[in-house]
Amino acid sequence: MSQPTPANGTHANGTTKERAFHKTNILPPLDVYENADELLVVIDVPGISAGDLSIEVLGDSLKFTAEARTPGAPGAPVERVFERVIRLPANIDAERITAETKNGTVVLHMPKLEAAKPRKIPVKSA
Amino acid sequence: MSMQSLFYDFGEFGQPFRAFDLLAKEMTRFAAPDGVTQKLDRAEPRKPRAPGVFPEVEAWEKDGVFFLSATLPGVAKEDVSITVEKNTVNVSTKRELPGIEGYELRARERRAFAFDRTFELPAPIAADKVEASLENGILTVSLPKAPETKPIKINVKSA
Repeated sequence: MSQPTPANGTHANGTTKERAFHKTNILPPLDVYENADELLVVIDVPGISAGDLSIEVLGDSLKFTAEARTPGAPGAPVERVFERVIRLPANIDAERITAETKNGTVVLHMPKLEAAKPRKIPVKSA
Repeated sequence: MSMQSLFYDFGEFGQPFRAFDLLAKEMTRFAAPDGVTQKLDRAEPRKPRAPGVFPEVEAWEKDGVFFLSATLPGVAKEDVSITVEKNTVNVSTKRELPGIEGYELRARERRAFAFDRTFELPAPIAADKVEASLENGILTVSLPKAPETKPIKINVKSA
């Protein structure tokens, strides 16, 4: 063979394997909490900082994407891609959804619509 | 004869499928790259692990420093304990999911875990120079080799 052979990543048949980043697609696990004011969604996304996150709301679904590269072992860096689509309940105010990152998790705050919150009706006596 | 006895009790032949159990156990050990081997701590009984929860660990060596990294989302740095002794390093941590005060749990996919692993490294470590960081749920430990184990070049003088 006239072609120079790379030190690693070469198959027996001579084709060169892409060694730049080992890409892993992950469906991240999530927890859902609720109180009278909001829904809280906690998602495991190790290696993700706030800048790697993208959250889109389209109609009644929320698409969550996060992508990060970690150096890892030399020759085996890892690219983690987290993707998840969440159906939003009807009582959520999509305009006011916020997100924060904490210790490799993302917390989505989904406030409920004012109209959907429980309301106390005062009873007047005649 | 029930199915159970078909599989497990072969009378004078014993338990022929036990070999598969042992093999499966052996296969769960893994050899990390660059000669860093992992040793299971056999002195303690194994703690039961939740299915599917197994923090990923990577180990490598670069320029006389061993590195270990583990993915630990949702773990605070106060909950990670690292101990170094001669050429072994133990990393233990746990993630408990006690819930959030003032909120009710509606769906749970994340799992609590306890992580306790001892790694045997091929050379003694300079324990005072070990550093660890936990960033965005990824723990990275750097373990420099003890200086005396670095090769020293001896110049040969001619008479």
